[in-house]
Amino acid sequence: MSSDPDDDALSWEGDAALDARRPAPHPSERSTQPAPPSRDQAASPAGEQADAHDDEPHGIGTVTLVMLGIFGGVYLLYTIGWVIGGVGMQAKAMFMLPAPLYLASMWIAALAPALWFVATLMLTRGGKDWVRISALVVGAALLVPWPFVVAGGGGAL
Amino acid sequence: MSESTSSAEAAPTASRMLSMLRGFVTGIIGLAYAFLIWNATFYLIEMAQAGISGYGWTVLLMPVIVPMIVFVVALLMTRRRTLGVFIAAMLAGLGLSAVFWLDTLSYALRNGASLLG
Repeated sequence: MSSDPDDDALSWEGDAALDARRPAPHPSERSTQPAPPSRDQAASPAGEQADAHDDEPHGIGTVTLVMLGIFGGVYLLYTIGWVIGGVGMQAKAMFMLPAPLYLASMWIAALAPALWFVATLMLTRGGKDWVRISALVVGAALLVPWPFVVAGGGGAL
Repeated sequence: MSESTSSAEAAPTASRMLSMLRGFVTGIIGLAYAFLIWNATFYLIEMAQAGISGYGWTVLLMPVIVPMIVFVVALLMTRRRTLGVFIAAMLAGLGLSAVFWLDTLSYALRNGASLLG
């Protein structure tokens, strides 16, 4: 990118913040790893001019980003597991529980992984990376869809 | 209620409004926790009529107690955080409570004989 901002084909709101960050790349292990291409790079034809570090979301490293993706996938599978396991358990559970009670509990449980994920990101915003990942690990341990697992994955209890 | 006492004052400040909103949200989400506790209590009473052992009481009382603990922990953890973080944490705790309740229910359905006295 040229030194004069007026020479750029396009200018965006926030360019000033980008320029302010440019002279000081993050002194961490990220400098050895290529950052994943973000939409900024894909959208602009002049993207190859930009330093890869400029496209990193501030405060989230590549490793953390990958871990977030992995846990997001795990949590998504948990959600599916809770829906299948919950529906499979439904017939037996309703011998003793009224349907509205059981179904409401079931849907709250199905939403639990997503709620935990969001709450973790919000609660640990600005915190250390290992704290954020640990909170997700704890969630992955607590939110296992046991009704799905003990039913052999079939959901038929 | 806090609404009536604060409306008596001339101009509630922004922070007072925020704390009122926080109290309101706490009440609404607290009702959701209470719903889960009611679920577990309902099931416990149904099972108790069938006659359950001490072990059965212990197992089925857990989902009654755990949501209360989770509620308090979530409340304490987010005491000094913004309203959005507070709501997110309370909802996550609600999900955790529902997960624990259904885990217990699943166990009770599969191992009903071991709970009976």
